[in-house]
Amino acid sequence: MSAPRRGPGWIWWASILAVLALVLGMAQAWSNIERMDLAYELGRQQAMLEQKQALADKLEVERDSLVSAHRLRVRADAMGLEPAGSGRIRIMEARPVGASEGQGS
Amino acid sequence: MSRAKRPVNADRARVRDWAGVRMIVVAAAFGLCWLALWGRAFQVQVLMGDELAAKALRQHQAVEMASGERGRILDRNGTVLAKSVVCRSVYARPLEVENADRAAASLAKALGGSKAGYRTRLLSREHFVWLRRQVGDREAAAVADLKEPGIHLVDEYRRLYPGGHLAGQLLGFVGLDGVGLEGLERSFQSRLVGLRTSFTVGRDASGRHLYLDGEDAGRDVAGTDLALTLDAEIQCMAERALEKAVSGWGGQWGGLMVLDVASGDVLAWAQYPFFNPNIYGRYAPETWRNRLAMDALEPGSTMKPFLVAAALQDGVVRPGDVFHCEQGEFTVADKTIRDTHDYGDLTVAEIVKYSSNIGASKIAEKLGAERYHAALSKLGFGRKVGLPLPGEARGILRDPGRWYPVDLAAAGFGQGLSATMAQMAAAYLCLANDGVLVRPGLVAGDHGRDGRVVFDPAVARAVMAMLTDVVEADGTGTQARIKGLTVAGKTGTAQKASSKGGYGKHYAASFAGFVPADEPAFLVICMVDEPHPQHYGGVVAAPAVRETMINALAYLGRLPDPSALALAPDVGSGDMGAGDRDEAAVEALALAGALARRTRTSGNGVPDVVGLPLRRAVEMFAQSGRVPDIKGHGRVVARQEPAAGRSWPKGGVSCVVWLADIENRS
Repeated sequence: MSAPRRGPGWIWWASILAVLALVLGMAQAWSNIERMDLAYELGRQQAMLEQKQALADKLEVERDSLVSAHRLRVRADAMGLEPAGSGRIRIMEARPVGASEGQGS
Repeated sequence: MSRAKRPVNADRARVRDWAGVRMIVVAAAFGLCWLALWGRAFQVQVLMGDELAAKALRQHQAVEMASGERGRILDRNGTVLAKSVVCRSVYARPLEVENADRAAASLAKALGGSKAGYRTRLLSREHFVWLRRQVGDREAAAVADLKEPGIHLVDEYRRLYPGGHLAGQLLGFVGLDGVGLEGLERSFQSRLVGLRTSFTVGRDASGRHLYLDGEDAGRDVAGTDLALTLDAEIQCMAERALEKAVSGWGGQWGGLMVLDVASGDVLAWAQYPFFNPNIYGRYAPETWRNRLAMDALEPGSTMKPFLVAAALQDGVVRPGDVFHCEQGEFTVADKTIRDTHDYGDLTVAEIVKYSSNIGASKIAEKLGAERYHAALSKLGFGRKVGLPLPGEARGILRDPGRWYPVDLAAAGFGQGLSATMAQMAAAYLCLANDGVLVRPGLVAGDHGRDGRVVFDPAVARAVMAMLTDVVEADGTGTQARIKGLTVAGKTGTAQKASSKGGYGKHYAASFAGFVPADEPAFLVICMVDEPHPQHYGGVVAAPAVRETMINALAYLGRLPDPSALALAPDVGSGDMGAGDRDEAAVEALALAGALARRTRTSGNGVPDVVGLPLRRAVEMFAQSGRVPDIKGHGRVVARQEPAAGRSWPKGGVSCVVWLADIENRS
C-alpha cells in the first residue's frame, strides 16, 4: 500500500491564501490610514462648521439688534415718520388682478 | 583483506551520530521559546489583559467635555429676545509665563486696561487666572497673535439681548458663568441651560482629537428655547408710551402692561427707567428690579370697581342706588376723607365714574369688611399671581378682623392695602371675562382660564358699563378716549404712605383700560410713581394707555376704517370737538355722494373715485392692480384720468387723480 499521492494543488491554494492574506492586510492598513485622514478632515470640517455657525449666530444677533423695534422707531422718528393713527390705515383685500378688473367697484 | 571485511556496525559504534541529539536540542529550545512566548502571551492577554487594555485606551482615547448652548428666549412671533453666542475669554497660566512685563504690555495694548493690573495677575502664584472674560472677536484675534507663552484663549458663551432694553427687567440677565441671575433667565435656569456632558474621542500621538466614531459628538446638548407670550412690537410701543408718561411728568418710575383679555397672555411688560441686560453691570440693582411683580403699592381708586362688583354681587347695592357724598368731606373715626369735587348725591355708577372716595367708603361700610375681604381674596389679592418670576410679592391684604372702620373706609378706595401691578391686572382680567378668573401668563401654554367664578356675568357687565362711562361719558378717564372705539377704564390716584407715618405728598397715578369696551380684547394698565406737578391717573397714566392702545390696534390692523367711521350713524365719539365733527360730516357727505355715483359706474372699467377720500380712491385702484399718480393737494379726489367707466389704459399709461379740499364736481 503506498500513501496517496498529493498533487501540486494544495501548494497553489496555500500560495493563493497567503497572497490574499497579504492583500487583506495591506487593504486593512490602507483603510486605517484613510480612516485617520478622514478623521483629521472631519475634525477640520467640524471646527470650521462651528466657527461659521458661531459667526452666523453673531451676525443674526447683530441683524436682530439692527432691526429691533426700538432702533427702527428711533430711525423712523429721525425721518419724520410716526405710527399710523386712527383713520390712516387701509386694509387691502388680496384679490387676483384679473378677477378684480371685472368687478368694477 | 581482513580490514576490508570489518563489519559496518562496528564503525557505526565508533562514530557517534549526533544529529538526533541536535535535533532534539533544537526542538527543545524552540519548544521552550515557544512555551515562553505562549506564557508571556498568556500573561499579557489573560493575566494583565484588562489593565493593559485600559492603558491602551487611555493612550488612544480622550474624554472631551461639552457644554450646550443656552436656550433662546423668543417672543410670541419668534422674535429673538435673548440668545447665546460663542465668544472667547483670555486667561493665563502664570507658571508658564516667561516675561511678565512684556506679556502685560502686550495684553494692555491688545485688550486695553492697565499694564500694572495684568502684570500683577501674571506674577501671581495661581495656576490659573482670568485676564478678561468674553472679549470681542477683534480683541481675541489680537491676543492670539501675541503668541505669548502662558496666555491662552478659551471659548465661552455670552448672552446677548438684541432688543437692548426691550423688556429688560422681565428678561433679567445671565452672569459670566452662564447662570441666570435675575428675571426669567433666573426662573427658567434649569430649562434654558445647556447640558454639560462628556464623550470619548480618539487621540493621535500628538494628542489631537479624532472624531472617528462621532455618534456621541452629535448629541444635542443645547438648552430648551423659551417662548413668551410677549409681542416685541407691542412691548416697544408700551415702553415708548410709558417713557413719555414717566419722563414727561417727572415720575420716579412707571410700569405698563398689555394683556390679551381672553387668554390672559401678557403682550407687554414695560418698566421705566429702562434696563439693558447686555450691560447689566452698569446699572444699580434697583433698576433691574422687576417692580411690576415685586413692588406692591396702594392702588388707590383703581380698586373701586372691585368694591362695587363685590357689593353688587352680594346684593348690597344696585347701580342706581344713591349715596350722599357729603359735599366732598367726610369724617370716619377722626379721619377725614376727601373728594376732589364737592359731590352731593351720587349713584353707585356715578361714584365709579367720578371716582368719589366718600361714596366708595360708604359702599364699603355697607358691604362690610368680611365680604369685601372675601371678594378681594377671590380676586387674588394678598397672594402671588403665580407668574414665573423671582421675588413676586403677595401684596398686603390684612385680616378683616383687624380692620377698623377707617381701614374699611380706606380700603374702599384702595388705600390701606397693597397690590402689585400684576395682581391688579389679574383682577381686571376677571372683570373683563364676565367674572371668571383668568390667570395672566408670560410663557405660552402655562396659564389661562382658572375657571373659578368670582362675579356673575351680569355683575361684571354692569361694572364694565360703569367703567365705560368713566372714559366715554364725563368721567375721570376722558383722556383715554379713542375716536371710533369705545374704551372702558378706571383712573387711580393713590396717596403714598410716608416714611414718617401717615400719608405724604407723593402720589402714584394709574389707569386701567379696556378696548373695545363692549367686547374687551385688550387690557392696558399703567402706573406712574410720584409724578408732578400733576398726579392724577386720568391725566398722567390715561394718555399712555390710550397711546399704547392706538398703536397696538394699528399694528394688529384693528383700528376702525375711516370710511366706515364716516358713514357710521354716530360720527365719532362724545369727545369730538366741533371741528372734528364737521370734518367727519364733510367726509361722510362726500363719501355718500361718491358711493351713490359709483353704483352707476360700469363694472368692467375704471371705477369712479371722484369725491372719495384719497385713501379710499387709492385702495379702489389698488384692488384693480393699479397705483394712480397723485397730483395737487387736498383730501378728496376732484378729477380722475381715465374717466370713470372707461377701460383700463394699456402700455404703461398711468392713471392720475387730482386732489382738492372740496369736491368740485357737480
